[in-house]
Amino acid sequence: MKETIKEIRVLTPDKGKYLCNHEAKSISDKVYLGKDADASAWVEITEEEKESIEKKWEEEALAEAERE
Amino acid sequence: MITADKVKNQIQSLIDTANEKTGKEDVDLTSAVGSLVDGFGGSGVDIALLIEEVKFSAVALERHYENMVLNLLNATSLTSMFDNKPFMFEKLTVNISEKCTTFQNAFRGSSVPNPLQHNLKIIEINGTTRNVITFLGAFRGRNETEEIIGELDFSSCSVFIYAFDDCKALKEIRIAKNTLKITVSFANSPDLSDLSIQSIIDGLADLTGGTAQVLTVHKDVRAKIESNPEQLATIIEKNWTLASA
Repeated sequence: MKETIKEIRVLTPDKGKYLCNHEAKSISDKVYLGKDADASAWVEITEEEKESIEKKWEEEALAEAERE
Repeated sequence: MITADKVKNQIQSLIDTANEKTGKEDVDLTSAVGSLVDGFGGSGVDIALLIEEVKFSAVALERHYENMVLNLLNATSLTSMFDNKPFMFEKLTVNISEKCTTFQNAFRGSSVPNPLQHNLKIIEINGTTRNVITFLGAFRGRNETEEIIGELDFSSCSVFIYAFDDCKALKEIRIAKNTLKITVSFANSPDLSDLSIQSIIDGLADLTGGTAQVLTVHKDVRAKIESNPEQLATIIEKNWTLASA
């Protein structure tokens, strides 16, 4: 679903899903974007995928800490 | 006037004091100061370190201190200063200079619940952070810290990942205006004060014409921003994306 409020775009996922931006490492249930922001960076994911992605990011963070 | 000899004598004196207090024979300054800290205990300590890289990884900081003051004016790196270990300061004051370029995991707390680490309510940073390049995991896991005193300047920061992860009790933080240029998350901080929220928004650099970055906040903070159209408009006008977790 996508709606526009003046120059603010609002992205909301389908019920029970989330929006994920892999580059920003952000998972959200609602996203506000400006007119120039790339909405395609936000992809819809399921609860199961959310848990998997968060686990992966956590592992990456631990690996990063261990590399020091 | 500070001479090299005077500095050397001060360092040696510090090591001697640490050794005397602890009965150890430390040979390096960091270890010696750590031993000194452990030796004192009490309500507070004030330590000056003249070295560039600061680490307390070999020190058992398990005594209770109301206020730990670290004078690190010569430090260039605070990387993993406490090495993810628990400690019992209620307030930690760090005095730095513009020489400091790395805050990577500097104040990181353990992600594993540990009663020893749930006391650090306040972190005070005196001195500019404008030359700090990485804040990766800087305050990560500091789930008991309510206040970060001192205006954080992110002008040079290019790595922000996990900087404020698990800062569940954070209420007060101040950011220098227009210095935040890359994606940042306060997703685990539901109790940010109104002044802190405004400071974060004021801290966002204007990215108009560039690539939008993402400000992620807790749902409760998003609700506050949603109820303030001016704040939401400012975020969007600066070409930032607002997300919430």
